[in-house]
Amino acid sequence: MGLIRESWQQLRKNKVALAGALIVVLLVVVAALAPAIAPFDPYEANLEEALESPSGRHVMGTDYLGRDIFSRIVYGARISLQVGILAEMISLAIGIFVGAIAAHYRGWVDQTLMRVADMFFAFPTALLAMAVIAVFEEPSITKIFIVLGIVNWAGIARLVRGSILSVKEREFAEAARALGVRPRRLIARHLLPNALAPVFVAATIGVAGNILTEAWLSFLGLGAQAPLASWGSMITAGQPFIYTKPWICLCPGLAIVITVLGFNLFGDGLRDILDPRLKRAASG
Amino acid sequence: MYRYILKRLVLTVPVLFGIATMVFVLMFVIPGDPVRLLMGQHGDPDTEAVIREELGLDRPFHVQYVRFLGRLLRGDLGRSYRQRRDVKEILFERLPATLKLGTAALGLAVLIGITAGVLAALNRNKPVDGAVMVASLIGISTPVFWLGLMLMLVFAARLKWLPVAGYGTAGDLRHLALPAVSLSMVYIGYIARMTRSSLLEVIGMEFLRTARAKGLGPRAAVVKHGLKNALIPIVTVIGLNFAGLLGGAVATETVFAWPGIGRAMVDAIRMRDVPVIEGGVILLSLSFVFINLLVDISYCAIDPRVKLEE
Repeated sequence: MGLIRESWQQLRKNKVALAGALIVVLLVVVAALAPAIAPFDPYEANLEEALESPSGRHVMGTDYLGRDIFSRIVYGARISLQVGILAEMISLAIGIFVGAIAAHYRGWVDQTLMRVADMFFAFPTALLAMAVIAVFEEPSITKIFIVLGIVNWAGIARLVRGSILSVKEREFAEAARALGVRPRRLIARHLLPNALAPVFVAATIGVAGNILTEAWLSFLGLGAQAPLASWGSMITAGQPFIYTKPWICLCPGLAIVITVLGFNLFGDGLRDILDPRLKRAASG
Repeated sequence: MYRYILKRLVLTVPVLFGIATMVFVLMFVIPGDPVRLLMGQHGDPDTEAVIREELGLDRPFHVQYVRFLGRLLRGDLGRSYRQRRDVKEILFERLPATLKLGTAALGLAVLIGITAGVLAALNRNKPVDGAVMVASLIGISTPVFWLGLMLMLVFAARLKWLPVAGYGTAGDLRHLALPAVSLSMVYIGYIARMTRSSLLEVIGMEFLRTARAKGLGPRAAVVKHGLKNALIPIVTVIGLNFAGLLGGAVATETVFAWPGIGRAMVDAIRMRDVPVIEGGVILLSLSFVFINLLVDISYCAIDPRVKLEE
């Protein structure tokens, strides 16, 4: 589609988006190639080397069980990316579906769905996620991304609905309808692609948010369970030693900041790319 | 104006109702028997049955639901499983601490955020702008609990300027400083960004040229007239992110041992104290809905067009 090619060209020009994209790509590569990149086994405890300061051998030092922190951070990228992206995909699936239905059918269907969305919006979602997961007897990563996905659909739904509604009125939709294109095809082939641009932006930023929430949940012990190396739980493990061996908390935290920053930058850049084009398209 | 407010108020009722229902359904539906959670692994079935009956947990779903709603309407949030107290008592006891923290953080965030945003907008594309935007972005990307820990490390442990954690006595600002700052960071980021973009949008508009024609210098014009009109999206952001502030308060309270509602919730979650969790979520959602209502109402004050539309 011409949309994709043009977006690609714009991406290369926009430095913010590029920086973000680079970070994201780097992250994906690190996560995918973790076994090759990590110098040590992230789960291998070696009490003789416990709590070592960063050195040539252990670039970021070791934790209280003697595990290499750098290796754990590398493997932690897998968890963060998995949760962040999978949760967002669930939100997208639910949100796009609901938003499209609301926008197309209007009337009481629209009103009801949007009221429900309002209710989900009113929830402090992180709190809800915590509460829900806590009541499960065995928290796990899978439960986290499912819960996060379900809890965060409302924003996407609203966006999709708004987008479709504004796009519905435009000429090409009229033309398609005049040609006799049936409703389901109308939505899928004509309305959705144009409506989806802001959704991509929201989804990218959504991934960033999910990663932060996962870190928080793992910090509380409601997420990845030991010995899995989630950045959040690494910070918890480092808390008792924070004054004497600060790097145990510092490094995973920095990893989180950089990762979330990458997605936010990318999302911001995407917004800059897609927005002026939409404005031009509207006047053209 | 009053019809507008009334209308908004009425609309919140179904939302609140829906939230209460959702909370109840969720707590009901999720696996994990509360009685067994209460008793631990070594409860015997007879005692469990007695407790179950006492708590009304043996009744069918709709009976429990109706009782739940009835209690809610009477303002009763139930009794804690763990402590021998009403949920309401537990939560309201912790409320002042959270309010103190939240207000301080909000105040800091609005003050610093709007100032930074204005500075950035006025100096568009110059170093100040870049610096503010980068700082904002980093602020948004930083986990609140980690930031708290790092601030604690630097300012309390290493530099020893401020106490490490805890509440201190009621009038003590030094204990409030670090938690308030770490909580406000994310908020500052959002507010600064929104202020900047909203102001920039407004700067190009007609009435500013009128203000300039009146003889106001460029900066004064922006601040006086531009800011007022740019306020709507800013206020929206403040309202929308309030839920984030509440969530962040939970993290901050945990890290700094701040005796607020957030920490009560985390403790309740750890101990599977379901009524406290339910009560807390409902209470917090209520405040969020209320804040949104305030935001909506303030639109009226800021933008008269909204009033006329109704």
